[in-house]
Amino acid sequence: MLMKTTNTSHMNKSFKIVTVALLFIAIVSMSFKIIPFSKSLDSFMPTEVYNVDYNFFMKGGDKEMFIKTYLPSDNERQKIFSKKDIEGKSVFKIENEEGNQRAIWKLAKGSSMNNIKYSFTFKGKAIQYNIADNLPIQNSSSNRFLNEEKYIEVHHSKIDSLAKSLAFGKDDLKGVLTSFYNYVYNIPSAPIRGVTSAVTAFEQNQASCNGKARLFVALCRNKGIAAKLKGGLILENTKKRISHLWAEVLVNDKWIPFDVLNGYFAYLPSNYLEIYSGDHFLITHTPNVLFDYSYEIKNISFVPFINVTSKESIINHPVSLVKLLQSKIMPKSVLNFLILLPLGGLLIALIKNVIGLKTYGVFLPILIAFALTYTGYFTGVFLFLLITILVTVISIPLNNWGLLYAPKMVVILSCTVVSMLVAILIGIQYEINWLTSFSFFPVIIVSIMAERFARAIEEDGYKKAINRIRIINVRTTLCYVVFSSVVINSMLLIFPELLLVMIVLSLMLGKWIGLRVFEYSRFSTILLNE
Amino acid sequence: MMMKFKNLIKRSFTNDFDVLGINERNVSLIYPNNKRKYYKFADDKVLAKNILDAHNIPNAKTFAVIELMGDIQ
Repeated sequence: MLMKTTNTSHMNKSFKIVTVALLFIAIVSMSFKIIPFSKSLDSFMPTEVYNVDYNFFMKGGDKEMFIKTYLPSDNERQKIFSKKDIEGKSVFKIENEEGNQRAIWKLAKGSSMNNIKYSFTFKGKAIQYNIADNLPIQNSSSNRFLNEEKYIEVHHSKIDSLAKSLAFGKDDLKGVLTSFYNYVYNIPSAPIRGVTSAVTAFEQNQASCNGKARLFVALCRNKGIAAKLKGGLILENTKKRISHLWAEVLVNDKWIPFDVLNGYFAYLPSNYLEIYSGDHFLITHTPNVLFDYSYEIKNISFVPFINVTSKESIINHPVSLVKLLQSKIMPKSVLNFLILLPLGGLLIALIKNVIGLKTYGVFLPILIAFALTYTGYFTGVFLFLLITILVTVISIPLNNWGLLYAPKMVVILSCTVVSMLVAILIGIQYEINWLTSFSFFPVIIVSIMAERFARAIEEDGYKKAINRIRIINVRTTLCYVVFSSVVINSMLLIFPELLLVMIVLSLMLGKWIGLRVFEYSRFSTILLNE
Repeated sequence: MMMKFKNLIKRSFTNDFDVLGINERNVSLIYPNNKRKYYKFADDKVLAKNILDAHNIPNAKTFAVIELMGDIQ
């Protein structure tokens, strides 16, 4: 038997004190946050949060003026919070009108400029609806969502014959809807301003959102399928004036969305703000006055399961990084990277000291894994392989020519940068998305990677170098799985004390004397003979 | 069964086996008993031999020290 020490002096006092103290601080600090944390859990789990401002400007004349618009309300895809009418000079009221909330501002006469601002916070998520196969078309003739409207000419002869030919041979709801949807979706879209009716859209064979949505609704209604128009805004981080129209169809007593312009079948993305239903104008106002408007939309950083709009929310806790995230002083990606770095390091240390896999460098796999969170796993791995192959090819002549090391590395790094840029340009030119995601690759990481690989080729030969890449890949994958977890990321933002816990775990791992997993199999004959 | 498993976990944490693993070697033997500044004696054969000679500890005789490729004749 080997000489073994029973001396526990390595667990010396100061080590114990520091470890326990760190753990104590972390636990105490986190325990203060448990109640606010549980109070601010948000069951809605939005995927996007926006702040929306309606801005209206009106300069009037000699009579009392009005502005009318619609206000959004909650549904299963969206929640509206913090509604505020900011400008107080006007008389403001909200009326309920056929299920829509209509906001009305009344302005006193006079020639002064009136600014009206209404703001709210939108939380949204995307929902994909399923329409069962073989559902029959239910004819409910009394339904008001089957009627002809001014711009939805349900019973026009052209709509009639189009609906008949598109639905020919199909008797189930999904089949008919698919046929209508494909037809309208494939009509060329054109940025037409003003109102396009269903028949006009068909006759011109080109339309914008409103013409296409009306044509789709008209076709559905013609076949006895209840359908209606939906109006709203597509939210993006900008100031815009364009609103959007899409359609909803009644399937099994449930309204299912269809956007025939942007190609969403029984689906709406999370940034669609629904404001009203029916064929209405979003804004109406007193005619013949100076009027202008805009929608100011700001994307808000948030933590998915935390209510950002509640005042007692945990994000306002002094020891929380969500504030830092929202301040936008530090880019989100940099902050995420910083808080995930220790976790990645701990993972690599676990792999080395507990499992016993050889590790070449602690941080390279973490850095690569981080790049993969931008590009997506498979695209990223594929791009890395491309660069690896490229570097291999370049380094063959460079080695043969016998260049000095440092200049040779510069040649390799420059070639990597040039080919990344060329790939991005080609990707943009031919709209190849996976090529453009090269732009998400941090150049430094790619350079380090290329440099190491080229060196490994030179020192250990191709076979070993490739094997090395494979080992790096295993650890990168593990880091990627952890990094891409929204829950882990969010928990670190809310409980940054977890970084202290990671220090404690690493300290303990630093004193770990157990056998590595690989040692159990290596010494299995001895271990089994005991 | 549960007790046996618990026992095994405990043994693997304290390394209660007849094998000295690399973790225990480093943590229990190398780090406490070897100061960093002495590592160079372990890494360099010539330095180690100088120390051994100074304390009259027998060791293999040094015929020559070749430091550069050019020294080989």
